[in-house]
Amino acid sequence: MPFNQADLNDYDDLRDKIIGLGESSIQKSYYPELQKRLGELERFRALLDQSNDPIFLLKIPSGHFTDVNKSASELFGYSNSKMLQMSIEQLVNKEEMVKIQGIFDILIENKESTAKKTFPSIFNTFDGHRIPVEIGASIVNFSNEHYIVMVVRDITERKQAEDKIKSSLEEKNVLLREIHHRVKNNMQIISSLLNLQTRYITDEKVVDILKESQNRVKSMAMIHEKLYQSEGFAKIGFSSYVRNLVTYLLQSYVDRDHVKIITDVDDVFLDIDTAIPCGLIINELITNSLKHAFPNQTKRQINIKLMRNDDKFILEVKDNGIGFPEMLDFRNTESLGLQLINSLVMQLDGTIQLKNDGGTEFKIVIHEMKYSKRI
Amino acid sequence: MDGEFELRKFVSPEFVFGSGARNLLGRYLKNFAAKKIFLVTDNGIISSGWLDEIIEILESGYYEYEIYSNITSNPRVEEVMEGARVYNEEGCDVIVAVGGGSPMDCAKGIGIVISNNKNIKEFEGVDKVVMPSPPLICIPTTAGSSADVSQFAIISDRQRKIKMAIISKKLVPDVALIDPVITTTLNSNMTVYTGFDILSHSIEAYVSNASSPITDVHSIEAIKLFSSNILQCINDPKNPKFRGNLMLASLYAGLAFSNASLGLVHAMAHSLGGLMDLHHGECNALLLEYVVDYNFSSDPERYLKISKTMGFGDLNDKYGLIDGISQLKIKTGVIQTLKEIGVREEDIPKLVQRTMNDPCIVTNPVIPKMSDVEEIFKNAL
Repeated sequence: MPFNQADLNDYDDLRDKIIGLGESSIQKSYYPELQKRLGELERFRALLDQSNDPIFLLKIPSGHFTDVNKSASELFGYSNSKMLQMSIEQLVNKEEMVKIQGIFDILIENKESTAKKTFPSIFNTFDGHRIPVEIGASIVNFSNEHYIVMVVRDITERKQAEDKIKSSLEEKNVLLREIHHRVKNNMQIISSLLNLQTRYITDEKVVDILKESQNRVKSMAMIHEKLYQSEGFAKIGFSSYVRNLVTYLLQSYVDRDHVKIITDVDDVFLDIDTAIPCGLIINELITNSLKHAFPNQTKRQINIKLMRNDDKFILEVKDNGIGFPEMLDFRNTESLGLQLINSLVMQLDGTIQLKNDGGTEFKIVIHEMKYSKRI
Repeated sequence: MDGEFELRKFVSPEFVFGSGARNLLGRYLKNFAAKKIFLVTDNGIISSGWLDEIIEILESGYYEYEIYSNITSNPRVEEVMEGARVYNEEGCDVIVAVGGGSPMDCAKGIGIVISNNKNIKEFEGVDKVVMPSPPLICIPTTAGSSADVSQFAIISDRQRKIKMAIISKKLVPDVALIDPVITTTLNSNMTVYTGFDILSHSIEAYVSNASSPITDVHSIEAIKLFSSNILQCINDPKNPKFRGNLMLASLYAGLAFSNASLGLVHAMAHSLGGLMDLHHGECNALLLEYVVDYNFSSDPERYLKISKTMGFGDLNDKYGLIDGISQLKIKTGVIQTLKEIGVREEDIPKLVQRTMNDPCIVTNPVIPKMSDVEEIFKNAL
């Protein structure tokens, strides 16, 4: 049966179609589809051309550009048609090419995978500028031929910003080091001036006062010294500071008989806002012990202990001397040293306890200062 | 070669012949996914009113269009280049040519200029076109040129005063909508001139050294239909039967000559038309019997068959044919000589030289010497 019933009913229509007069009895009918595909291609082209990043399609292994977008010709200064006669070798130096070739080789070896490689490089423009770029490269296959899609991002601005940050950081470091150094030097001068002053004074009491002041300044100068020797100029290693301070104080009071000072300081790092009051407190406590604890004792010993306990520091300074005088209230005395200790402990939001049991023991619990950063 | 078949190719566009063929334009535009149509025509067609009908078809399909009618009777290099510029500027995507040989040849030229992005002069000669034109639909309004089915385009270069022949399969239009109804408004002169184009196309294709059994059928049928309808058509120009037969003759002749090519009449006519800017059909008519006289001896059998087909059987020899053609020219009012239309004897060397360079000469049944061509021109003066 050549025709079904429906066709039999409409022989005329069928006849029209057979002899070519039907609405779609046209020999070549690929145009609408062709136009559609062409439209797709144009849209895709626009998509590529509107990208800010240069995009290349490279033939492998030759490295010839099969397709480039508008940004590519704009950034590198060649016309689109010139670009299509070029290969990647013409955009990079020899040593860069070796590096890029190596990365391409890895991609080619894993060609079945969809691996993508991102790496930095430097490309040359038509007029000889060198542009730092970040390349995203992946391999694609068309009709058994390998190509690499390379998206090239101009990272000149990023590089510039990085360099700027680096140099401004370096500048800041130099500046800080210099400031701490100068502060330390100035304090050193003040300390030396006080020292000089003592030579013209005969009153032992005044000499003592000057010496104490000198040591206070010195203990602060040492903090700055530690700071400019530190890496970030923000925190100092406190155990090393305490050891230096103790040595200095012992030398400072050479007229005292030998005192053994044992330090047990956790390896803590303190910022300047905590380190200076803390250093001053230790200075005062040791000075007190050195001056008043051992009028007659033979085995003289001072223990300094600093422990970290979560966000608190526990400082214990203990001597085996004659003990703190019973009639004195350490919180309320004429002694500048003790007044200083009280006010510094308060400043550090801490507590202070005195144990008068076979010597004097001060136990101070302080918090690290949490000032908001000033820079 | 007796008993063997030489290789022959036959190329034709998809064509629809018949009353109302022009009304199929819409579906072909749809098939080409047309958006904006470049409508190539001339002022004669516009004033005849046929273009309004075509525009109606375009508008009913909501197609945008751009009319390009700045075309003289022998389309010129500048007109082609300007057309291509307008096409591109307007963002057209399909060309529709409505007219005789001039608008159609111009449209073909515009098409290849657009797709190859070259000057039209670069296509002069055979097979110089690399990319085919954008979709080209032809609606012929004369019975004669057959540009709607042929691989030829003749473009006039007024600088060099020559007619360039561009021959390429890529010039064959995509679609020809051949509607004899349109020719009912042709005036008598145009009917005769274009009619003699049919006759010279078909005679030259039939005696061409590249003719084939396939082109022969078309040539002979064209000669027969032309001879038996031209006089009636002049007397009764609105008669659809005579008009239809002449249009059919033109189609047959076009299919024949596009594939078998032409000969000396056309080579000489192109040369003449280039120098004088005359109507192509008229040039053919003025030269036809003189070339028959020269060519006859190279293939008497075929010329006698032509004579018989034209109905000049009584006196079955060369002179019978020549006389028959002369008589037909007189009856149709083609009574001028080359001299009368302005050709001078001193023009002949230039005319001869250009004739020898025209690609149509290579398929003439015998390749003439320069002196032969000179002689023919002199005879026709």
